[in-house]
Amino acid sequence: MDAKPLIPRHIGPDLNQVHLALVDCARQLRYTARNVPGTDSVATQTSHRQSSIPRPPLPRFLGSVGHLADALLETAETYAGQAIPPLQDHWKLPVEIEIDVESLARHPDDMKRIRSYSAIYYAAAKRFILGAGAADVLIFEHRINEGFIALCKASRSRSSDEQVIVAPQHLAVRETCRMFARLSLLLIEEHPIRSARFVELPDVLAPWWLIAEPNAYVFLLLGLLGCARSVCPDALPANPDSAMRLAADILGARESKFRELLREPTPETALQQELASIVKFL
Amino acid sequence: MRDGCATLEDRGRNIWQTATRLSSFNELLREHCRSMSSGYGISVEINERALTAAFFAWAQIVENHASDPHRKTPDYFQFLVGSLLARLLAAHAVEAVPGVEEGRSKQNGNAIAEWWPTGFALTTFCVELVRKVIAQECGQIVTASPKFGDIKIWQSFRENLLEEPSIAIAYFDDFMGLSPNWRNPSFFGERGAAQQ
Repeated sequence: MDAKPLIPRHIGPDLNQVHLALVDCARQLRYTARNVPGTDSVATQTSHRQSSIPRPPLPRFLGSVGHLADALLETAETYAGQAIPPLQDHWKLPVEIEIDVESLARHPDDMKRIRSYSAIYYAAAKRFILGAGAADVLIFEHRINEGFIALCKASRSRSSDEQVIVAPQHLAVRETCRMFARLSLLLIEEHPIRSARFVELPDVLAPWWLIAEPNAYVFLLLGLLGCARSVCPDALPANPDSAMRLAADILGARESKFRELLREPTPETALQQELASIVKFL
Repeated sequence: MRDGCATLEDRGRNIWQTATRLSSFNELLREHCRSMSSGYGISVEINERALTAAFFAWAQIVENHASDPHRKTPDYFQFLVGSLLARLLAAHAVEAVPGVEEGRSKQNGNAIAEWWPTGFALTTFCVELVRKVIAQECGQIVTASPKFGDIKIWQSFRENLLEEPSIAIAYFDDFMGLSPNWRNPSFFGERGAAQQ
């Protein structure tokens, strides 16, 4: 009889990704250390004495790690300056979905912005699912981050080869809807929500879709809310939780349309049109 | 209908545009619900979630008929507002608040409102809405027929609504003096105006 694996099978691939990321990080540290000229560390001097084999001068390892630490500190301070609470607690406060997709398209390499948007999406998704009555939820933020990075890449390649002549205001709304449609689809593809366990049925207007397909439901919801917040902020309730509930109610009312368009051969265009049609009625 | 319930005042705004945006539509209906208390002695309040669901289900109907060749005709707006009434009633977008107005002296002509507060509130709202919209968009004056005050028709309306929510469109036509399509009320193509 085969022994039962210690790790649940469905998180295996993600653990592999974490492993790869750590290996990559270690390689980068080693590379940085090797490329900084300087004196040997205490540990390497000891090993020199023991082996007595001549070796090239070793890098100032602690110095380069210090540089890395400085960079990390700087990043941490920037985050603190923006008053972003620690990730684990971020979802406990109402989350405002303010995603400036235009800036994302203009600065696709701005990783700080991407990370902060991923954190917003992570917190909003967790807050919504737990608020809908889930007993627990597992979301991988790095997958949300991947979705945002893919969006930036896509917008970078698209902006260079597409020029459409439309009135500026219409173009802005259409572009915003298109970006949020694309972001939602990319995130659904990434499957960041690994599990959402409900002991009791959630809200009456969106029960089974949320349970059966949490990624589709939640990322369409956040896409719709982000889009509405960008296009017509005054039409939404000021309280972020109320705005989230409103988006959930709209999604519930148009559920069959949304499910249908996800099955279409070009879901991005269909979703863009649906988002545009909804924000028009807000 | 009482003058006190004419809450959809123009105030220089386009009523159809106001009605086709959830935020401003919500305000219109809220205002109307408040006026029901002073005008008819009944107390009703909006169920926000049900209203959102009903509104966006209706928005889908508006979208589906956006390119209809008969748009901008009075019957087009009559049909869409009738569809709105059907959705609002089916979703229970308005709820009666029991007991609040018990101390009030009974006013004449409140029998329908007291008997079915939510249905009456929503129907009067839609009658006002369609009147204003047709006046603004088509330059025509339409008024409710005498059937609007007949409680027997309201009884039949409420009873049939339980079996078929879209029948509200037909009753709404009847109240506005048009000949209703009882068999397939939710199909715009079968209406007299659309066939001309």
